[in-house]
Formats: sequence, structure tokens, C-alpha cells
Amino acid sequence: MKKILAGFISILLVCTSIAGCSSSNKASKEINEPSAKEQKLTYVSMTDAVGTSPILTNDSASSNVIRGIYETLFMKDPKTGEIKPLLADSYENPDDNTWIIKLKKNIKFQDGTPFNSEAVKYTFEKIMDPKTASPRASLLKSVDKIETPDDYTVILHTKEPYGIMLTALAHDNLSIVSPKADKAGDINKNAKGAGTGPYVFSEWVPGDHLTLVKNPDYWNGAPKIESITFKVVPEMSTAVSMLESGEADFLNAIPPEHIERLKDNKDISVTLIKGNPTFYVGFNFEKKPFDNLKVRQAISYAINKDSYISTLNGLGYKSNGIIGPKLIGYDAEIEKHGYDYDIAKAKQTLAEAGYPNGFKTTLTVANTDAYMKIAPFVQAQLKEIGITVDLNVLDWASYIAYSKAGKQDIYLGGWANATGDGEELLYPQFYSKSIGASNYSRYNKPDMDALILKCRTTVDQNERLKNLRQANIALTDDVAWIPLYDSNVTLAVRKNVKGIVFEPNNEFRLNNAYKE
Amino acid sequence: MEEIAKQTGLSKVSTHKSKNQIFELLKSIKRNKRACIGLVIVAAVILIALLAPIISPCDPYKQDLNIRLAEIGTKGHILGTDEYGRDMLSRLIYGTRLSLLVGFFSVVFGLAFGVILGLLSGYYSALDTLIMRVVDVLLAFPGVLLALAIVSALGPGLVNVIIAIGIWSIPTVARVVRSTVLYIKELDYVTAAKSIGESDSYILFKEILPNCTSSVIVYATMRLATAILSASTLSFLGLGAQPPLSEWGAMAATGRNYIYQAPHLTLLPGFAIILVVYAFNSLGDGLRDALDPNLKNAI
Repeated sequence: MKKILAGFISILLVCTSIAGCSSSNKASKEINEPSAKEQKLTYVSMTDAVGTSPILTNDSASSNVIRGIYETLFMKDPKTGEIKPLLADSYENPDDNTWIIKLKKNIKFQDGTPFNSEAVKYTFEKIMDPKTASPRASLLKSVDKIETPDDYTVILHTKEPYGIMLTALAHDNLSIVSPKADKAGDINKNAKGAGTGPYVFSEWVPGDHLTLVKNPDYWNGAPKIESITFKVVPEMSTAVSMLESGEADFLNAIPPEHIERLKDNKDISVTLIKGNPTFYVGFNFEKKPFDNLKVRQAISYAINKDSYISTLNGLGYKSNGIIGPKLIGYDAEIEKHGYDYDIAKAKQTLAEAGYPNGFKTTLTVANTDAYMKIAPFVQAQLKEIGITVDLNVLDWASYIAYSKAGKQDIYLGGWANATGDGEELLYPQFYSKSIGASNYSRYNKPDMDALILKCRTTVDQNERLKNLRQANIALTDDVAWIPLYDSNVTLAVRKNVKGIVFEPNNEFRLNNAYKE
Repeated sequence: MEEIAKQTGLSKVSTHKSKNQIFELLKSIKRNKRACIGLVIVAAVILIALLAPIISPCDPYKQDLNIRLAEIGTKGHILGTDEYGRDMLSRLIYGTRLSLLVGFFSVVFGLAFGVILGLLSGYYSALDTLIMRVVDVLLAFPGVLLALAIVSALGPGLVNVIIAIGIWSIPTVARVVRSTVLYIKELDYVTAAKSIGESDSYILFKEILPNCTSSVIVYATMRLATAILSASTLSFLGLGAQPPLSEWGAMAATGRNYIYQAPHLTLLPGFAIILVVYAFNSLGDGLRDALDPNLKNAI
């Protein structure tokens, strides 16, 4: 017996020493490589892109790639949030239903074909065509007809006034594609030459990596970076150690438990900016007792947001508004509204609602990290006022199907706003016709519907803001959601990488990035 | 819980055996040091589980976010606190209840079906092929994978974990019982019972079953260790105990996110699992040495 044990241990020792040798070899090789000089960037992401065509995708992993290959007519200034022309040169509104957009001249797609009004018309008509089934066709839903009087003028006629036209045109999914490349092949799998952007699609090994190389003829000055690799690493801890070892150059959406460690690393700089993704407790308004305002108020009073935010290592901040501070339509006046933590009031309000001893309910949660961390907290907080909460933990796809069908009682939700406009939250979340799609709360109030439509159709910007603010107050007073926290977005970059532009919606631009 | 119940059961049915069987068993375990340690730990764990509400210093579900991730040795929280500021010691203590319950019920579930299938299969050669081929199919699945598939189909939750691990135990129990039955049914007293015209059910349940008990007890004790380990595995994968239950596997899984800041969140439940699994395995080994018919020629 002892002999066998000794033999086993010695084999184990030999194995580990071999493994140790090989890994140390690898490490020394990496140090010897003059990687710092090479203008190559590696980004690690938890999820792979779904596709490389702006027309056919609607997820952040794909958008990160698409933003390098393609460009939009307008873009949001990352610092000020103001909408500025990108491929467009200027625009004018002769009336509320007409948008005349002048395009920049002398821009070529990466496949050599010229960028002109035909390409814009082709792209938008393809998105609007129901046969394409574009996931973001809603962005152009109000557009009736597209005219191209000459090569560099596009006229968009809308069915009704469309207030957020410019914000929509700045959305990654309305990037312009080369008609030639799109007709020639499936640009959703191989987007070679399909955009006007600073980087050209090179190769994609699904589930492993996707590579872009620089576009030397880029109209706005060729980028300094030679190639960018989007690497898929499904484990956050692995991704973090890759950044530490220099295998990866940057990484975003870092969970709180890794932040301190990265901040302590002197080779890495961590950027933290107030972002717009928001996490909330939602109610099913069609189920009792959540149709009762007092019950919703009581639950809001029972949740101590500050104490939860303190656990996020600075990755979350508090706002009472359903339209949060980083969205168009927010105004600081909203912080006086809402129902903040007050356990005595919570108990009292619940008793007034007719539930002095609480009740039993289910909290539906998706099984991803952020939600699974919140769930036991909400559960424990509601227990304090006598509400017994069972957790209904579902995988992401089932969670969405379950909530769309309105089977949940209360649920944990999150909303990241790509356009940064409050209207993009109101319409999908609280408009009655969005029930069965993204209106999980099944919120259905005629006053609110009218207000949301007004926000959508008003072209006058000041008028629009007034409507958005009014809607925000009405929803917050009505506890349509209990906003738990708004997230700060994080980017961790190795210190020798400069020039990455980072935005409050967790997106980044690499046009001017370079390595020192 | 398990083995004490089984032992008293054993002494009752085996009337033709010496009354001192338990005493003899304990003596044999006493001679075996490992088994002795196992027995002491198992007894201690059962005691802890029974007395959980009395001996836990705090409410295991009471959150206090002001003292989250407290280290081992913090005043008032000897083993520190977890990511919600819940007392680790209390959570571990309540965790023994869950682990023992899941282990016990899944083994009972597996035994209930496994023993019957084994008896039928061993006694009636006509049924043997059919039952054993089904058992072969179940055995062909690599361990946890079968449990994983069953839980995925039934949905997460502790009850479903019990069912899954129970189903996974059936084929092995059936095999063990069948082989014993095959041996016993050729013995003289079974032939004698047959010749005086006793019914099949009498022979199966009154003559054969009591004499399978020792191998079943040994198997059940060892199986408890596997069941506890598998339940923790499934909980670790998010398919078992749901929050806020303090199941050890689930605790280790959520603690994993904090492994750099607060390693005790993962390590403590890990040690607890190791300890209990080790104890049941050692005890099972000792029982086998004490009870195994091949070693002692007891039957």
C-alpha cells in the first residue's frame, strides 16, 4: 500500500514539474517578444458575436465588431452625448415629416465601390423589408419613403413626426453597408469590404476569435493599429488573468469582485464612468396584488438600495428615476420622487393595502451573475415586511419567454439603452402595444400611452424633453419599476494602450487607438 | 440516522442470529481505526444537524451588508461572513441538514426501487435479462452526467436533485442485491422453504431479503457519501439548492466569485464536503469489513 502511494505521489510530482516547466517557458517567451511595439490589440469578451452584418444583428458583442467595420450617418459624441454627422455632412427639416440629409463626398467602401445615396437607400430599404426580418427594423418604422434626388442627397419621408430620427440614425444597427458586398455574399458571416469604417473584416473562427485588420484607405485617416482580435473567453476570472498577463489588452463590463484587483495592478488602468444600464424590480401589473399602488410602494420602501449599492465597489450609483441620469429626458427633479427605504413606512403601507401580515410571491430571475446576486438580497429585504419570496431561477432564454408571456409575479430586469434616449426605454417597456414583446410589466395605461406617443412624434427638442420628464415623474410616482441602481461602466486597459474611446452605454471606439 | 436505523432493523429481522450482533459490529469497527473516526464524525454531523437551531450563533439567512466578507476570526462571526454578511458558521451548520437530508432521501429512494428490482431479477430468471439490460443502459451513463440530465429535464431544486441521484443509484443497488439473491436462492433453507410450499413472496421477503441486508447496508453507507458529493456538485452547477439555502455546493459556487478577496467563502464549504464524504466512506469501509459475507462467511 505504501509503495503504491509513494509511486503515485512521485508520478504526481513529475507531472506537476513538467507542467511547471512548460508554463514557465511560455511566460519567458512572452516577455521576450517585443509585443509592445507591435500594433496589435486583443479584446476579450464573454460572448461571441452573433453576426457581422448590422442589418441582421442586435447584440453588444456583434455591435463591438460592427462599429469597427461600418459607420453610421450620424454619431453620438462620446463626451457630450450630442449627435454629430459622421457619414452625413448636414441635415435639414423643411417640415416635421421630411429629413433632407446631405452626405460626405469622396468616401469609398472597403471593396472600392463609392459611398453614395444609393447605398443608404439600399441599406435602409433592406432593413425595412419585412422579408429581411431585421431585429432593429423598429428604428425605421416611421419611415415611409426614401428618395435620392442626386448621389449625395437622401430624403427620408416619415409617416408621422419621428422625434428621435437622429438618435436612430446614430445607432450601430443603421450602419451603411456596401450594396455590392451585400449582394455578393453573406456579410453576416464574412463582412470583407462591406463597410466604410477604419477596420476591415479578416477572419472569424466562431466561438474562438474574430480578427479585423486596418483599412489603409480609411477616409478619416488610416488607424495606427494593424489588427484587432476579438477573443471569446466565457470565464470572467480567466479573462481578467489574461489582461494581467498581457495576453489581452483591454476588457469591459468587469464585475465588482474583480475591480479592486485590477485597480491594484500598476500595468492596468481602470476607467469607470457613469453609465445607463439600469437594474430594477419589475411587477406584473396584471397580477394581484401588484396592480395595487400601495403594495408597490410598500415594496419600494422595503428595499434599502444604498446598502446594496455599497457592495458594488463603486460599480453602481443611485437614482430614483426610471429614466436615469445618463439618458436624454432625465432631470434632477426626479430625485425628489420615488419611495426610498423606510421600513416603518413599508409595514404601514402594506397594512393599508390590506396585507398586514404580508403575502407569498415568486421572484423570477435570470441565472446570470448580476441578477443572481441581487435576488437573495431582495428576498431577504422583503422578508422583513412579511413578504415571503420564492425564487424562480431560469436560464436567459426561458426568462425572456416567461416574462414576455407575463407568467411572472415580480421579476428582476435590466435595461441597457443603446441610443441613450429616454424614449427608447418608454416605448418598449411601458407602451401598451409592447405587451407580449418587451413590456414585461404589462403596463397598460391610456394616459401613459398618449404621453409616450407624444415623446415619439414630437420633433421640437425642448417640447420632447418636457414630455420625457413628465413621463419619468408619472412612472416613478406610480412605481412602474423600482430602480435598484444604474451601473457605472468599466473599461480596464493595459497602460501601454492609448486612445480607446469609451461611452456610457459600455461601447468603445478604436479609431484612434495605438500602443506605446 | 441511516445506519443506526438499519442496524436495529437488522437485529429485529435476523432472529436466527445472535442478539449480540450490534455489539459485535461495534467491536469490529472499534478494531478498525479509520472506521472509528468515520463513525465519530458521522455521529457528530448528525448531532449538529439535529441541534442546528440551538447551536448556530446567528440566523443563517439574516443579511447585514455592513459586515460583508468578514474574515475568519471576526468578533461575533468566528468563521467570517459571506457576500451578504450572513454568518458562515451558521450557514455551514444549517448546510449539514441539507446535505444529510438529500443524501439520506436519495439513497432511500434508490434503495426502494433498486432492492425490488434486484430481488425480482435475481429470483425470477425470466425477468433477469430484461431488468439487467435496462440496468446496463443506466450504468452506461457516466455518473453525474445522468443526474445532470435528469435534473435538467425536471428543473432545478433540491427535491429534483433527490430524485435524480436516487434514479442514478437504482442500477447499482439492483446489481448488488441481484448477485446476493443469486447466491442465497441456491442455499438449503431456501430450497427447504420451497419444498414445504411457501409462497414466492414469503421466500423473497422473509427468507432472502433479510439476508441481503448486510450488503445493502454497506452499499447504502458508501452511497451516502457519493450522494452528498453529487448533490453538492449539482448545486455548484446551479441546478440544486436555490438561494438563499445554505447548501455547501451552492455556497462554494457563489463564493468562487470572491476567491481572491475572501477565499473562506469557497474553502469552508469545500472542507465540510470533504469531511463528511470522508467520514461516510470510512464508515462504509469499516462496515464492509465487519459485515462482508465473503470475509466472515457469516451466512
